Amino acid sequence: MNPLETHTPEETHVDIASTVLSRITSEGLMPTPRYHFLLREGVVWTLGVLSVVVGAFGVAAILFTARHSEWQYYQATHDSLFSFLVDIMPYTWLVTLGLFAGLSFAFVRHTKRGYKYQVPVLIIVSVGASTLLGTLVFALGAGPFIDQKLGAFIPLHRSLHDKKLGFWNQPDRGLVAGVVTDISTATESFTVMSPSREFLTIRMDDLRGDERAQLSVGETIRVFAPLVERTVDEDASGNMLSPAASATKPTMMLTALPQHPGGPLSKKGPGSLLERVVTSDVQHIRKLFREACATLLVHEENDDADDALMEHMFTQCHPGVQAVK
Amino acid sequence: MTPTPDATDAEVVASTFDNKDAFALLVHRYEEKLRRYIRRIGIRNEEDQNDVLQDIFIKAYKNLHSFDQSLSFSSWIYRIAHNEAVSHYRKRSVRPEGMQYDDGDTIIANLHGEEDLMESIASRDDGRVMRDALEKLDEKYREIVVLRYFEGKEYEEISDILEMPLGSVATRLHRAKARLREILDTTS
Repeated sequence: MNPLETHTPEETHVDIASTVLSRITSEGLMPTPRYHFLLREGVVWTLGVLSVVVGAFGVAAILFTARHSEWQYYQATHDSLFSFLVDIMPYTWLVTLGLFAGLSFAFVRHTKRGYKYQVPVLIIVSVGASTLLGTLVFALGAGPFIDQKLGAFIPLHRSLHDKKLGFWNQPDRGLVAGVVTDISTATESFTVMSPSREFLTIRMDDLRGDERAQLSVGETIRVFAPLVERTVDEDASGNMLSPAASATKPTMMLTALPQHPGGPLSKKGPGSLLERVVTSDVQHIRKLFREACATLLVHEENDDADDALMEHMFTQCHPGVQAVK
Repeated sequence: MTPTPDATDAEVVASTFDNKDAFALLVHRYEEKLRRYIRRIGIRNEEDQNDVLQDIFIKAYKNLHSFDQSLSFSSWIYRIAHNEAVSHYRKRSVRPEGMQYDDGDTIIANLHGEEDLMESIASRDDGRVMRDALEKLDEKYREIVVLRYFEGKEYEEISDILEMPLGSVATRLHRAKARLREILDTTS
């Protein structure tokens, strides 16, 4: 007896078996090759793992931000802890972690056996895997690279470095960061060029001897001088006033903070803002930096050459200086 | 090689790779079960049933290499049937149709042991009452009730067919029964 005849469909129905076999023959259907399914499974797993890895980068950058946000300065740079948190929050990386943890969950869910696991379990595993791997990546010191270099590819991303430059570039609040471009013992002042291309002349008669010794042209520094209520700027005629005209003694926060997480603090010096000049003279800036840097990697033909220059100043020129990183 | 009538489904699948005619044995084994299943989950028109059945078996044939030997062939082909039925509703932009009158009696027969539900049905025109109640169930609850009480599937099999975790099967079935009881109590 033909085994195919052991079960007879109800006569009221179409003979499905014959119809199906006819379609298979007439349409030349063949079982899809096994490698196709293996490949699909492999691709889904790979995407799942890649999502975990990208999520881990997010975790590493979040840990880096949390570790290097310099919470101890928030009272100097912000009006409240809340406003500091709002500013420092690594939104990009939180979104990245959330997005890619979600993606890794979705990919694993679509593997052959993914449906067997409860959604919360898969989410916890996805986030947990990214967290573990991200902690390892952070421990290996890749946080700054991820936050600055990889983050540069993400629209609207502001690296911790850029945020800090912003925090420390508020001369009216007494916060100054930049490269020392000039030191004048005659006027007891030094000049700092900020990332916003302002030249800020700061009084240094309160510098201690060791601090003076550290101060040198080309160094990246940051200064907190809470008095910056235009201690000494210009008189009514536009003449620079003498340093002695400054009635208020500056209080320098950085001197009280000897250790920076990334290494020793760079030059730190008390002072009060004497003069503030904004320049757009790119040639002048270049000259200053040629003096300050041994090599200068600026593409002359680049329209953003001055921006590249600024970036170079803060990241390449003085790699040993950690103060504003 | 032609498989013997007592060959397991997995053995017939293996034979199909050498001889596509062997696939007819699988079609014969599952045609009526799947026809009942897709009818119960809402494909009432016989022509539609035939079309969907053909699509189910063609899809199964094309995807034979994806059949996971750790699952039963039955669960695997029920999964395809479920997906094809859902796809059928979507293509036609229709909702699943109502159940057959005798379906109410079938579920009652399978519900022995579910005392609380049986109490709700007691002393009524049982088959009709149950059918009406099932028609009022949400689709997601009805499909799981159909698999459990009409098709007699175990939780593990339902998990494989509907591609959901075992815990979710238990939860959904529990909710489906609670909802069914609610509907039965309301109509009493």
